[in-house]
Amino acid sequence: MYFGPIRARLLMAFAALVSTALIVVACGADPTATPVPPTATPTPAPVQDDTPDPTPTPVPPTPTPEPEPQVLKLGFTVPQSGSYARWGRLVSAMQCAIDEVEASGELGSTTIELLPEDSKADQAEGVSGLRKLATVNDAPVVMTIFTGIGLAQKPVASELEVVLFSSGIQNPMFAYDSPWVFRNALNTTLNADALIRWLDDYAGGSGEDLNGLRYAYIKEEGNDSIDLQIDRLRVLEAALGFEIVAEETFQKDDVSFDTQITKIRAAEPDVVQLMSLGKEMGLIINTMAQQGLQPKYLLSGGGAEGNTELIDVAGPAANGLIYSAPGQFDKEADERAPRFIDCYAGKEGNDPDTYATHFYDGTLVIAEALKLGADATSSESMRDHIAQVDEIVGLAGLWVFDEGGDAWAPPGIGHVVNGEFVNLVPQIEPYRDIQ
Amino acid sequence: METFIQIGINALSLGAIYALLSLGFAVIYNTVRIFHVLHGAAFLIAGYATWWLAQEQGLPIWLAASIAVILSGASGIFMELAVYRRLRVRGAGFLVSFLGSLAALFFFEGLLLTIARTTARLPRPGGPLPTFNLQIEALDIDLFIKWHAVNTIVLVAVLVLAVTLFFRYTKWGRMIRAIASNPDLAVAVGINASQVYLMVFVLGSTLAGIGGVMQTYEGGVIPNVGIRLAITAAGGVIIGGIGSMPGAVVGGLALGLAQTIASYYFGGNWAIPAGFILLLLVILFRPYGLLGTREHRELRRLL
Repeated sequence: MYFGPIRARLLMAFAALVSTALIVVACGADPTATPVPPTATPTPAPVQDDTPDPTPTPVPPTPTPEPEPQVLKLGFTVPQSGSYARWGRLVSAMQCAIDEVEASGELGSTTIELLPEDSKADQAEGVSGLRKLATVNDAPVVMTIFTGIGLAQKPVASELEVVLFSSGIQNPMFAYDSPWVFRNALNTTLNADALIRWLDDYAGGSGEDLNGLRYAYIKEEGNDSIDLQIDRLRVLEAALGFEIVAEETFQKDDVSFDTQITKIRAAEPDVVQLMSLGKEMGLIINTMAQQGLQPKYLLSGGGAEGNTELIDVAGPAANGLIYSAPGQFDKEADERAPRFIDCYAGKEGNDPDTYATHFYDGTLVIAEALKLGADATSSESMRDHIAQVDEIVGLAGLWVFDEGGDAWAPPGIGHVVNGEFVNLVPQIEPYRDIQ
Repeated sequence: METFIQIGINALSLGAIYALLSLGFAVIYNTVRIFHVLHGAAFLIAGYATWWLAQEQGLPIWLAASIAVILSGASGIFMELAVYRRLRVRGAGFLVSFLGSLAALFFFEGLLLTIARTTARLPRPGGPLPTFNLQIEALDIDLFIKWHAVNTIVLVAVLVLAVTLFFRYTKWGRMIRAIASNPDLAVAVGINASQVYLMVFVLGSTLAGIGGVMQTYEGGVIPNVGIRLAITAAGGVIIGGIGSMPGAVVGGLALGLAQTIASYYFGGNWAIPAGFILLLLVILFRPYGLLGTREHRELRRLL
């Protein structure tokens, strides 16, 4: 059917317009960070003399002036919209830690004001958010999450002289090479170790023979954390004898996985690992069930625990999924734990997962720096005092910081039972001898 | 063999949704000559309405889906009256109309983000969709085929036929064709162009809405897919041939096929680029599209 003559120029304009629109869509959001001028100099710290006067004065004591209450503006670049928006729950975890510390009275008159900034899980947005928090809000410390975003923020944090702290970035090099960057988190590569170690030692009761085990994975493209995990998986493949027989990819926000699963099914794997942090995991599990792909083991290297969308979308098909997660939250080991659970559940409607627990612990590290006498308005003072924190007992266990400002913990293993995330192995030792 | 049959079904199922979107886009573009990226909003309205009515209000899925399609069709009236007619009255050209459409889509997506947040909304209980097992021992075939894929392909085929008959044999269809062919002459013989424009927006948005319902039922809906789907719909129209209704359907199917094949051979991250590479190849080597008409070829010679 033809609808009449179309002018040649109109046709050309239409084609050019489509091409332009495609480029815009293909590129996604504007990668250019908002050019906010960096702060010239951090606010100088007020001089504090904590040294007690050795000579008692005979004159009647004069009332000591009350120290002026300080407010630590604690920024947090975290996805609050987009397909990673569920990570915005970490704001609640941090607020619970702040409430706990402030209620204890250990901070004196100092308070912590949490300033979340939506990163949309996008590098440019994350950098822009960091600049805004540091220069507009004057936040001396900014928390962050996701490796790709954190690595993009790292040089900017050094340039702006603001502390960048993450309890979720799993890149093992994140905290190194910059005095402004700190971390307490799982190392992403250890997800691979945890899953393979679980197969090796625990699967089926006494472990599987890894030699010749057929392994397939489907991964989200453009996620540094996932790519690091795959690098590690290949090292383990070469050392332990299992065979990666299918490698498939998808893009964030995809909804159709039929073709990838068709290909994986044709490879007849014993194990399928899902590498996704978003809602896609549930759709992939559905597609597997629809195509009759039933591997002996269905694994997820991070991103499953606490992923309620996974349960909502996959329903009963999610049961049996084995996942690695950061060092797990022992809900009975500490008197703070029930208070944290109540506080978090009151805000989010469900119990905290281990990622939430890590951010709770990360906030305790910041609070510890304040207890050590950091000036809440000076990023330099905060940096120096955070660096003095050698270890801290959090709800996820003991965090020991090295000289690079980095603390990591071995991951644990959990599984999905009746739509619930249930701990299976609290902590699992990585293959330290395989490099 | 088994794998290729499965890939073929996957491609047809995906392409059928694209074909529906492209057909809706073509109905509007061929008549009104607007690069209607707001078309993606009709898809989203249907998806969210189905979810809300079925999951939040407890309506049966068939009723929820029917109401959702009606709502998406009605949204076409709103789009024409609130956006395009106002722009047309002010003498807006092609580019301004496109920018207005884009702005309206982003506004709508922003509104959805605020209201519905970003959680994927599924209008049914979670879990895999029902399948049937196709076994042919002689050919060593053991396939699991989704009923939903079969339903989608059949539904789209019926809709394409219905739309073709509508344009060929109904009064409204003839009026739309007249306006599309020569608006000035059509108005001169007494056809009310404003009413025709409203009709094409309702028809195009309804088609997008049906696509929205079918895709949401399987994979859920999130707010920020509108622009990607609108561009895909436009891509299908250009690949198939601007001005050609069958071309829009073929273009949509070709996009689905290209994405599926690329995904199989090069990985899922190549699916969307493959569709756009196909589009660029068509623009370069066959600008009148796969089913471009003789008039387009003549037009091409003039360029």
